[in-house]
Amino acid sequence: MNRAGALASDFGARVAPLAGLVIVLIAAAITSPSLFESSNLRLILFQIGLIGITALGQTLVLLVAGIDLSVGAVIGLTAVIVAAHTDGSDGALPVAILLAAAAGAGVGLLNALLVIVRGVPPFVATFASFVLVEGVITAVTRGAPSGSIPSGLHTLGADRVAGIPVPLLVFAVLALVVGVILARTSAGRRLYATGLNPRAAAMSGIRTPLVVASAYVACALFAVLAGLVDAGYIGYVDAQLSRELNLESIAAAVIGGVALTGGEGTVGQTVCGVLLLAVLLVWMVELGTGVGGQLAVEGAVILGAVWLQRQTLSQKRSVKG
Amino acid sequence: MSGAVPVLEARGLVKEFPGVRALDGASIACGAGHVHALVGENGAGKSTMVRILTGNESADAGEVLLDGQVVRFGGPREALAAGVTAVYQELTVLPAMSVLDNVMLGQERTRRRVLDNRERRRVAREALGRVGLGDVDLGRRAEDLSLASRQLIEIARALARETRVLILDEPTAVLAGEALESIHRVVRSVAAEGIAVIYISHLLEEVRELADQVTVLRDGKDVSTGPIAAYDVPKMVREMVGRDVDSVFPDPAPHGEEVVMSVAGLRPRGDDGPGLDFELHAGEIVGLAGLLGSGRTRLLRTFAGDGGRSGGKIAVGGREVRAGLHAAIDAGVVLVPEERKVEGLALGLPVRANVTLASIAGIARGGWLDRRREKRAYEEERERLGIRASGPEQLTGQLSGGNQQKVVLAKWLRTRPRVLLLDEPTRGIDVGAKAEIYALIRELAAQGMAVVFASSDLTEVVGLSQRVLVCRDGQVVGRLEREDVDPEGIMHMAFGTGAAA
Repeated sequence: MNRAGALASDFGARVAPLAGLVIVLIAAAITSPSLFESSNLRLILFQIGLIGITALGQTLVLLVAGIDLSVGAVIGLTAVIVAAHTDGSDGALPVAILLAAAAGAGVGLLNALLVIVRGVPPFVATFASFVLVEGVITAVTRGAPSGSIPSGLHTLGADRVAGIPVPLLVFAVLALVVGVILARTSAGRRLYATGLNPRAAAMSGIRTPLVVASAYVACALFAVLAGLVDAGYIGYVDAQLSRELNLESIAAAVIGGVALTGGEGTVGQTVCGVLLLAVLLVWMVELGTGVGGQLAVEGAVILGAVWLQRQTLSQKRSVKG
Repeated sequence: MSGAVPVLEARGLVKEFPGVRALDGASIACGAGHVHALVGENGAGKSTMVRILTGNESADAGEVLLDGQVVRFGGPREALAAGVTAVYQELTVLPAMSVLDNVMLGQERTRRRVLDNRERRRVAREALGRVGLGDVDLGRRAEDLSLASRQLIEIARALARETRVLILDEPTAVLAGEALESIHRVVRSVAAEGIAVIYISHLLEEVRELADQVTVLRDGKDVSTGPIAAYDVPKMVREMVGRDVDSVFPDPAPHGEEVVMSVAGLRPRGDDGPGLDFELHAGEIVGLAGLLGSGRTRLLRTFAGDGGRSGGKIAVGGREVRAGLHAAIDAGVVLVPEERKVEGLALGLPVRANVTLASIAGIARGGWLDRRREKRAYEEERERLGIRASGPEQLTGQLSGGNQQKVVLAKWLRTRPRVLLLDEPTRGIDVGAKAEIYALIRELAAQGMAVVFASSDLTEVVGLSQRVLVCRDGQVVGRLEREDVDPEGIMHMAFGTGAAA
């Protein structure tokens, strides 16, 4: 491989998101200094935590060359289950959490089953799950979820420890754990190998279906956790709000440089993408662009990130010959 | 050609790919009405030369001349427009389309932007007539025709254009008997029309019979060229290999007595034959020969637990091995696949990670990767196999074919296998690395490993094996001990023609 190519691909994958983050921070500081006042900062930090937790799960799925569009639905499902089961009572919370986790794992398994056993493209399989779960929520609750969120969840969603919002702490710990698993364990190695070349991995004795299924189930469980955080923060059930996290979790990972083609990307990159996206989103709110502007900017950034990735990919191709 | 300007000529072609110099100053000149054979080992540069002549690849140096004029094809369409057409061994006939549509593929005749069916039928009919398929139903689906007829349709497609140079890349590799003859007849009559034919084949007897001229490629150079009358088969082989075969393949050490793998009544999935009985000894190297599609690969994969069985038993070290990839790997039966990039390696991982891909549990302690241990594993294999990489962190996709193959070997050697299966072990590997792979296989066998390999390279089969099994139509039809092995005997068995020599 020529050195210039190596540098360029390193730039695309690693340096660009970091550079993007710095640029956005500077631009935001200039145009809207109020962004870094405490109330906005709190929103940014919460966003980082919430998007971050989902993006970690999404990263696992992206690494096995999948994509999970059911994340938002699982978040909504979690809130609905918790509200319905506890009706605001803290005592019922543990069981409610278990129920939500079981439901989430069920959705993850369904995704995995469709993808592995039937060979359904992940995009289609998880989108179908998304529609299915959203449909069930709407049908059962008739559009008006019953019950309420127990105040115990408030700790998870809105409290602070040593001045740091709990969701951010949760994200930081999870990022560390997932990062170490990916980089330092045989499980992580199997995940990368499966994502890069499922056939070669299987032929080498790796049980790839198990690896892929683990990624989808883990992603769904992360979504359940994000659902608890979200419900704790806003304090009521809103299944609509969580839908955006589908896109945002994917966007964060991809902006950070995790490849949509599988097997390439690190937790560090995802964290970088999460920071970038969260700042960007809140900045857009500050600028008063509204939801439309937010989405447009988000889309543009994803396109840019994917553009950079494809370029580096084609460079690699030419090297591999 | 005697003085006349050749229709198509290539001079001093050079083409380099990462890690391999595929062509290193190769030339060829073909005259109108001649059949010019192009022969050489796998990896000698034949297909690269064809790709350059047909505009699919551009040369790093050298030139292509048409009627004595230098031409530079910017792409396959320009070559086609100039009358240079190639027909490849891999058929491009679309099975679900009609004969007519297949012949006219890529050269539609239209009138006011609508397909002109009368004209299409006329052109197709004429082209089919020239390949002896004048009475075939134009509306028939291609998949209903025999393999030979489909091959002829490919040729007809080339003839439907204004073709002046027809390149045939192993058109008979999968054919035998009457089908083979029909292709030969067509080649002769096409040449008689004044078209220059470049004919690539591994079957040297066929070349002797069919060609007027021959050019031998070795290591990307044309090492020998001249009228076919000056060549017999041994001479062509000598030129192709560049040395006496004996020097590349010294006689192997005798194998051990211990039976490592025994196979009883084995029938790969979909096989309703009598089943295979076969014993493999420690230190033994067995070659599987046969034509493309003869079942060698399927047999190898069944040994490796990939693809399932219809019946029969496999035992390794006296213990029965269930069907299935994991059972085979656990029993120490491992496969180095033909498509190493697809099935052997994760090209995006560093070399060290591919070396430990199949033995990752042994590198980890309680799930934690031991990086030092992994690096040590890499160093051990680098030394044992002579892997040339810039270091353990180099991406595997950046290595040359030969070094990638060594990494696949390393991956399995880490698991301490008892039976090593290899499918086309040197395909796409240049000659120097080939010799290294051969030496490695010999070395491993000398240490007691049992080896079975499948190959379409007869030189390789004859040189490397202590025993050869010949496959045809999914069955093992012949078994030859080393002293009885000769290329022609194998070919006869593989084609099912005549008795073994």
